Amino acid sequence: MLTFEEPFYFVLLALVPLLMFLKHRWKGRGGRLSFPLGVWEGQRFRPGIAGMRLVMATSNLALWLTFAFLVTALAGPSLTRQEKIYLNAGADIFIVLDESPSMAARDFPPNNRFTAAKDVIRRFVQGRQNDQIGLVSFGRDAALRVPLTLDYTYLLKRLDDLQVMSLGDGTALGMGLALAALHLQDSTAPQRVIIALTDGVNNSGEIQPSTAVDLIRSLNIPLYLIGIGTNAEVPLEVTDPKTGMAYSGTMEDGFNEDFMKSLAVPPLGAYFSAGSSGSLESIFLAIDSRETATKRVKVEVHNDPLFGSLLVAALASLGLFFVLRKLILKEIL
Amino acid sequence: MSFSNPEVFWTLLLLIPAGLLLYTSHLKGRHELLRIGGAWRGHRLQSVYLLKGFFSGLLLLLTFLLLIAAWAGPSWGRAPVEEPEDGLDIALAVDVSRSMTSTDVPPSRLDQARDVIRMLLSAFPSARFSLVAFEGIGVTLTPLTPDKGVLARWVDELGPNVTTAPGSNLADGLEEALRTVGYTSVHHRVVIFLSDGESRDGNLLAAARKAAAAGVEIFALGFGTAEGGKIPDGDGFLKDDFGFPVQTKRNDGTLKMLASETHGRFFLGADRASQRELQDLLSNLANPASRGGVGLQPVPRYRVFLFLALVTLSGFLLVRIVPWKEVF
Repeated sequence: MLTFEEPFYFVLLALVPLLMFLKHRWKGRGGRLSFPLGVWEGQRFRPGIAGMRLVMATSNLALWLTFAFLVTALAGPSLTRQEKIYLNAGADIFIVLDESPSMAARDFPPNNRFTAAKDVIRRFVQGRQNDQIGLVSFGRDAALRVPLTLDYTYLLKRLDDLQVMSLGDGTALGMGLALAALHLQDSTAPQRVIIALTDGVNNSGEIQPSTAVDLIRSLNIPLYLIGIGTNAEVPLEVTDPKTGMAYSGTMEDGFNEDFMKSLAVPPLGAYFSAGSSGSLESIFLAIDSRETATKRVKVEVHNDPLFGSLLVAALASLGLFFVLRKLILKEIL
Repeated sequence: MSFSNPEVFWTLLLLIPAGLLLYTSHLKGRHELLRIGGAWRGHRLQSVYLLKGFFSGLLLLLTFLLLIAAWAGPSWGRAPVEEPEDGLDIALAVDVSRSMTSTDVPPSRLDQARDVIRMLLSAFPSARFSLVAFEGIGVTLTPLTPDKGVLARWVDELGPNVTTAPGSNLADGLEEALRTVGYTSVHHRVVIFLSDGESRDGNLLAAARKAAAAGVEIFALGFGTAEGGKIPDGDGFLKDDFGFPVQTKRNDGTLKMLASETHGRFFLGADRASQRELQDLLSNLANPASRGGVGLQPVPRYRVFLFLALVTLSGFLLVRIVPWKEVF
């Protein structure tokens, strides 16, 4: 929105019509010499200098625009914008994502499990405000991809970069959960949450999921575990990012749902089963509605001043007036 | 008095041809008035014309001068402003170009920078940090995070190999650092810029102004010596196309500009007293309550110059309009 810091300066615009009258209409004005170029009581002599008249009109316009720009700049125009500032810390959320080869199973048409999971995580992140989010992924091993941050742009870029099998062939769910807990343990946020997405049983890593869950419970962190996929036979296509080798086939073995239910027990967390993109989306919405930290917000008004552009415009129009008068019209005063 | 855009004073050079044009126009006017007025009226016209020409020319040039001065962004004095910020968000922008491997400050410029970062990480446990490394481009190694463990690991990894674009683009490094702290927060936001100041690419001044507009202060730390040093390369030193060892020197001018544009400070990175001073300054910023939640900001004074320009422009017109001695 356009506002003015000192609008009373617009009073100075009253000078413009006064000066215009004195310069163009006042009969007693100086700075000119009169010559009788017409016949006594006859018609006035009007030389055919239409081009010069145009130049003169342009130069006058430039002069009065200079005044208008100067007065407007004095009034301090600025564009105001409102910004929401959070006065307290939000929740700290760690997302733990399975990168094992089975995540390439194509039972979330037109996507595979991994792409569907990434899409839902992306929408979840875009819907958060003032919540620090971190990202851990796991295959045969687990890795911290993004530490807790409010920099969602960076987080989403790193999420996009994730690939199935980049951490090897395996499902180190316990390692992934433990790593997230480790990076959440020093958090002083009013709410801490771990959301894990996996499609298989733990078959890799030095830490068992139950051990990791004990650690998470000891830190009083809610764990939401989402089992992705179905037990049905599904096609699978995967390319090993390290070797470039492509694999394809069908996958039958599902996940051990009972085991996963035992890991995430209410009230400190919950297990969800996602067999389709729609259900995955609704699970995230359910988690979203559960984890709502109280947010104290203030709205700050910022002014982006515009006087600089008007100043440059004033300089340009005054320069144009000067050049037209001295170089084209050859004015001597 | 200080100016936020002092480089616009270069446009004052345009006043020289403008003054010459006014002078030649005046000489021509004198000659023509004598021809028009004739012997009995010409001298009287000339005496008025001399005064009017002098004052109108002077007032017009003064108008240009005042407008350019206002454009340069003058400010003097400092006014108290409320500082609601609580806590610190620090973007660490580290130069990892090959010149930073120079050993003119042992063990190397980059090792000295690493030590400063480690000192800051331990001195401000409740602050959030981001880490950006830059050579030809700026790369975020860690986004703004309270997780010091991750930051400490990346500090150990800092070196010319962390980015794939060779060069020395300080502007891109600063832009990326600004991006990492580029959202509204109650925290005070600063960039700690660790470099030897050798800049070959990018528009650093524009990036610094962007920081100033966003209210981010830059504390620039210079590493290396003014005398300079050679750049290690394998068992020897890096050589130029003619086979001579490349000499790299600390460029304080670039770093001081960054600091002054954003009302920050320049420090010698390897100097212990400077490091303590930086730590004290950041502690002060982290706790606004210690200074009553009030900070001082320079007061812009462009209006004074604009108003005077309006007066001189009106004067320029009135000198022409008002007839003198009933002549013209």
